[in-house]
Amino acid sequence: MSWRYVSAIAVGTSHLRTDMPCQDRVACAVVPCPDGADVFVGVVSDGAGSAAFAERGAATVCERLPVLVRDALARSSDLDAVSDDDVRTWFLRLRDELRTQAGDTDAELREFSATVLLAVASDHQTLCAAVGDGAVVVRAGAGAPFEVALWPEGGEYVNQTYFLTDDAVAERVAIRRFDGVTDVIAFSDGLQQLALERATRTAFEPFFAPLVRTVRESAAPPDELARSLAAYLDSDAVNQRTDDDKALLVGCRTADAA
Amino acid sequence: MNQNVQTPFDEPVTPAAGGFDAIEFAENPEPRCACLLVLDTSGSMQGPPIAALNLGLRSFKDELLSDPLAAKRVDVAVLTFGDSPQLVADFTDAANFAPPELRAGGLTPMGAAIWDALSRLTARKETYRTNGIAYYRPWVFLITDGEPTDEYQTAAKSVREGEERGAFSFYGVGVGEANMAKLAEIAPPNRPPVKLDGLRFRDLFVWLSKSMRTVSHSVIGTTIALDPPGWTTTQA
Repeated sequence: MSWRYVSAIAVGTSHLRTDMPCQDRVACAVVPCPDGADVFVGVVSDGAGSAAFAERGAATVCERLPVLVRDALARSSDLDAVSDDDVRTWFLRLRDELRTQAGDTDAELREFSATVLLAVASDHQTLCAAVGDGAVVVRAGAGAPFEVALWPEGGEYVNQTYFLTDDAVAERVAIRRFDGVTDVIAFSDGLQQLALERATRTAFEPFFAPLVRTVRESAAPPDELARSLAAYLDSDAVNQRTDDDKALLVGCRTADAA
Repeated sequence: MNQNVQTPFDEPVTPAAGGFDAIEFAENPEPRCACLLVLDTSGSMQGPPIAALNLGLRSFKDELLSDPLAAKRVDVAVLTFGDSPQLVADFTDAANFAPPELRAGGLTPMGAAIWDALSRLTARKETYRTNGIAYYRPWVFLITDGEPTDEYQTAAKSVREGEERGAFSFYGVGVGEANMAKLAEIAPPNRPPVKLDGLRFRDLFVWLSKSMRTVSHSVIGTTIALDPPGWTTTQA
């Protein structure tokens, strides 16, 4: 079993208007485990608009979290061996990392505020974890419905959320586990309006089906696929529905070697 | 349907929950920022003040429409108090908001009006949730040229509690001979009432629309920076 994946980010039109950089980041990796299994790791992080070093916060999350996950899988690809406490420890270590950077920069920790979405998928098990908004959506096989693994978390109002840098981060890490997942999608809050149906709390199938189909069936090399996804995220069709930054990753388990 | 059940024709028909009203959210699933205007239309507003207020309301709509996202996201309602509190314009997105032509007359039942306003806001939030609509913190914007002629202390307490809880943001504006001391008892301590300079309602509503545009564009973690209101006076 192997994984095909693609990811991209695109700056929001509101950020362009106000000369703000894109503060979303994304990372994907496949970790080869000693037991021969390949484990897919996907991370999305959205830096807070009000934080001075938001992109550094988000970039750090995307660089360091896959390393923490890889280290945890050094002996086995069995995700049952990774406890919820282990997951919370990753988040706390990430926060420590940001605190160190804040100290080095003479800045407050909150200037590095960022959300975290994580998906770790082995051949049989999938572990999803998050702090803040954005969402993770999974599907267990062709024909199965797309299921919202982790719904955006953040409080009553649409313009507030939780961050990795919050004091209460350990209590706020949402964790869910699934069996038999073949497709994983994670995206930042900039895409929520297009991807989720709030009324029914479901994933909007017409958004997800073409993404997964393209990743599975396209013969294009990975970098070309990524460019084409970035172009979609920056298209008028998307920008008419959101003026925020966008980050998206799609991982598909395939029978063939990548 | 029982044809014998008559609704008195001067009373608004309350639509059943989850009724056809919810179609507005299918047409426009954007997140909403409710802006409830609570306006004093007592007798003392007669003449130039009410005319300036009406002009202000029309400018409010025009300004909101100049921003496509705000036109969809700002959810406006108007509640007046002169005789009894009256919802003259129910919540609707700015694009569909029809500025009412207000007439002055009656007393100043501000306490009852605030009470009514807050319960309508709670109901509106419930409607958002039922229909899966995300929303921003609502605004309650009260404008008066007098002082309450009814019991207002209970309402004032609810305003302060709601503001404290983050249930809404309350803005109090006094016009002309408004009793600013009583208005200050109602408005939350962190946002004391301000006095309108003369009859600059138009400037007030342009500022309000700008502020609502800022809020309706705000994304997570952004500190919302509003322009300072240029229409206030420091004169008591």
